[in-house]
Order: sequence, then structure tokens, then C-alpha cells
Amino acid sequence: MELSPFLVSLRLGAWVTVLLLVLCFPLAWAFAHARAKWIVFIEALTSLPLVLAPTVLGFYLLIALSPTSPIGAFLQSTFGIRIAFSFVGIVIGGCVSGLPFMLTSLKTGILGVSQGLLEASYTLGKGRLETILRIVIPNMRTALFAGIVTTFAHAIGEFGIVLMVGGSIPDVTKTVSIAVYERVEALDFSGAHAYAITLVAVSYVAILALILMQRREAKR
Amino acid sequence: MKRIAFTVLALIAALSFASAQEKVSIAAAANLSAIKDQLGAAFAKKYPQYQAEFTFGSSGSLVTQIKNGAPFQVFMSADTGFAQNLVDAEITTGPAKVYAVGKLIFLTTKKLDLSKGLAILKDTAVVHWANCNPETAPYGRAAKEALTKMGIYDAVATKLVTAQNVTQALQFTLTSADAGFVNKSVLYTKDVHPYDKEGTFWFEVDPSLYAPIEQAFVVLTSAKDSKSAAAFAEFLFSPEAQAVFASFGYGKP
Repeated sequence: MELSPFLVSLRLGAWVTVLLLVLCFPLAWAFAHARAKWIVFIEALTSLPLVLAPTVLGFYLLIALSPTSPIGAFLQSTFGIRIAFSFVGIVIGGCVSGLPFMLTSLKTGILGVSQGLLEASYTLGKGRLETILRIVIPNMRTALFAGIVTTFAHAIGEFGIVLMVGGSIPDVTKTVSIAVYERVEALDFSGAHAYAITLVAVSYVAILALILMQRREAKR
Repeated sequence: MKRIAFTVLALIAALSFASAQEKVSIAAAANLSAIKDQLGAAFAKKYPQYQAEFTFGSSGSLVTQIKNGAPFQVFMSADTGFAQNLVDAEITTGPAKVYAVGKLIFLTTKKLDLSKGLAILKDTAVVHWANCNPETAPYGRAAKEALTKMGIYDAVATKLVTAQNVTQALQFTLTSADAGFVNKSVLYTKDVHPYDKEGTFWFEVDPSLYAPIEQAFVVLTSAKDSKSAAAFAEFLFSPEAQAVFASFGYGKP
């Protein structure tokens, strides 16, 4: 068993989680509080990766990121970077497929903060930013944690998209789930077990921690 | 309401009649997906009472599925090794038999100077080249062997992107990679048609650089009493089937 696929998966999970956390907070805020009706169409769009087959996402990403597509060609000619078969490529893929996990958790968390608390803060002359930092975020800790855990675990286990746009490059795009697949294909079942059981253990611990935290929260 | 129910029933009946022919379920290596229509048609012509039904994957994954009880009757491998694996597991009705010899080509959709041969992979114009996993896909094994024999594999390995089967290697080559190694039969498919000009977009890899890709098949024990599976096994060596293989660039067994 090699260590490198684990490191790639961990890096992927970390990047996807941090990026989505930053990106999803304003979006979740908008979904929770915006009055405009059209916002539901955007919300439906961001939930799509939850039900779409990863192969569909992978297929479109593969085409979108290819150097012959408009996006790919622009990145290649302007910045000289190629996204297909790169770590950036699988991070983009992971962000797309992890989007609904982070968004749903954050939206639930934001909605769970009582309107009274928010109004009290505003009445006391605090601005929106300070209210978010000192009232909203501390009061949605469990949801925040849930978003981070599910997004991270999902990104580590991401398979379909990484398979389609990654190209299984050691140290770059060869993640644990790809390593498991390749070991099984090579009929090396003991090799596959070694990777798979570790992945099961890590995911189990993460989900267990989440449930424990939710229970503690419910008791309070 | 009654009319709808009747229509639905009639449809179901029609659908079941449409599939009344006895089926042969075949697990086939990914490189054969290009020829499935023609091979199926030739089989249906020779044996109108039977129908061939193909499922594709890399030879390695199909072997795993079959060993775990996948309901296939015939396994058409991309080499002899994977077919032999099932023979050794004693779940076949007989030995592995070679039905065609595959040919490996180098394919690109970019403007590359192919007069340099395989050494073009060292050129900076090639950022990524695609090959299927040498451990599980015989065409990938052949490509790696050829490059190793030429002494350039290590020099170009950093630019390699690995596909899980030969069909995915083709996908990569047609989309994001600059070149790739695929089975010759893809040249006869619609997607590759714009790039079928020899010397400009592809060339055949010198067969002396790799061990021949002898594609073998086995009939599985679950089909030992099946007349349709026996007919298909016989059909593979018929002039009709061999003509289909030849027209897709496969060599004779």
C-alpha cells in the first residue's frame, strides 16, 4: 500500500472544504434570507449535483476543461495553465459535486439562528458583518461542523468525477478511491482491502464525531 | 382508463415478443465496442433465432464480475491472460481460444509531427498522453512495452495520464490529452472519423515492439447447455465473423 493516494485525497478534501466554506456562506445566506422569487431557480441548480450521476458531471467537466473548449482555451492562452488532468481540475470537480452538501448544511444552520437574536443585534447598532461573525456563526456551530464533515468525507470518497477528469497521475490526481478501483481491476484484492478499510475507518470516525456533536447540541 | 391499461399491456406484450429470440449474453473487452453492431448483425444473419447482447468493460473488471457471479455466457477478452484466469478458476467449458489479434495505434487530434514516430512524445508539444492501465488493459500493456523497448518510457512517464480501459484512453485522447494509445478498430467509428488520416493523426505502432495482443474468448460453465452460446462460439471462427474483424483492422488468429 502506498501513502501517496491518501495524501492526494486529504489534499483534495481540504481544498474542496475550505473553498466551498468560503463560497457557500454568502450563497446560503442569500438562499435563507433573500426575498426575490427567482432565487429558487439558482438554489435548484446548486442542488443538482446531489441527484445527477457523477458521470454526467465528469463528462461536462472533461469537455469544459479540455484545451479545445472556450474555457480551457482561454486558461491555456492567458495563463498557460491546463486544468484537465491536474490537481486543480479534480478540486473543481470536487467543488461542483460537494456544493449541495455544504450549502444545505449552512442554510439549515443560518435558518436555525432565531430571528429575535438577529434583530436584537441590529437594534443594538451592530452591522451585518459583526452580527454574522459574533451571533450567527457561534449559534450555528453544529451545522457548520456538519457541512465541513460531510463535504470533506464526500470529497475524499469522490470517485466518478476524479475517474473521468483526473487521469490517475501518481501524487497528483490518483486518489484513494481510484487506487481501490485499480487494485480491484488488477485482481489484487488484498491491496484493495488495505486502501478500502482505511477509507471506511476514516469516514466512520468523521460521521461518528458529527452524530456525537449533534446529540450534545440537542441535549442543551 | 381501460384503454390506457390495454395499451400498456399491449406494449408490454409487444416488447416481450421483440425479445423472444434466445439471447447470448457476452462480456466483452472495451476495444470490441467499436465492432459490436457489425458483429451482432453478422451473427443475427447467420443465426436468426439468436441474438447477441454485449456488455463492455476492461478485461480485468469483467473477470472480477464473472468470478463473482455476473450472469454472462461468453467472455471475450482483450488478451489471453484474463481468459486463462477464468479457465484456471475452472468456470469455463473449455480452453481459451484466440479469435482475433489486436493492433495498437498511436492517435492524436493535434498537429504533431508524426514522422518522428513514438519519440514525438518527448516533444514539448505533448503535455499529456493517454494510455490505459497496463495492469488491467492489454492495449495499455502493449503500449508500455513498446515505449520501454524503445528506451523512452521513463522520459515520458511524467506526462502520462492513465485511463481505466481502452475506451477511456480514447476519450482522453479526443478531449484533453494531446495523444494516446488505442486499439486500431476505433478508426472505423464515427467519433474518430475526422482523424482517420494515416500519417497525419495516427500510425500503427511497430508490432515487433510488443508481444502480440492475442484476444481470446471462453464459454462459461453457466452456459454449458446453451445452444445459443455454442452457436456464438462457433460463429467467431466463421468467415463472416472473421471478415468483420478484418474490416476493423484486427489480424487473423
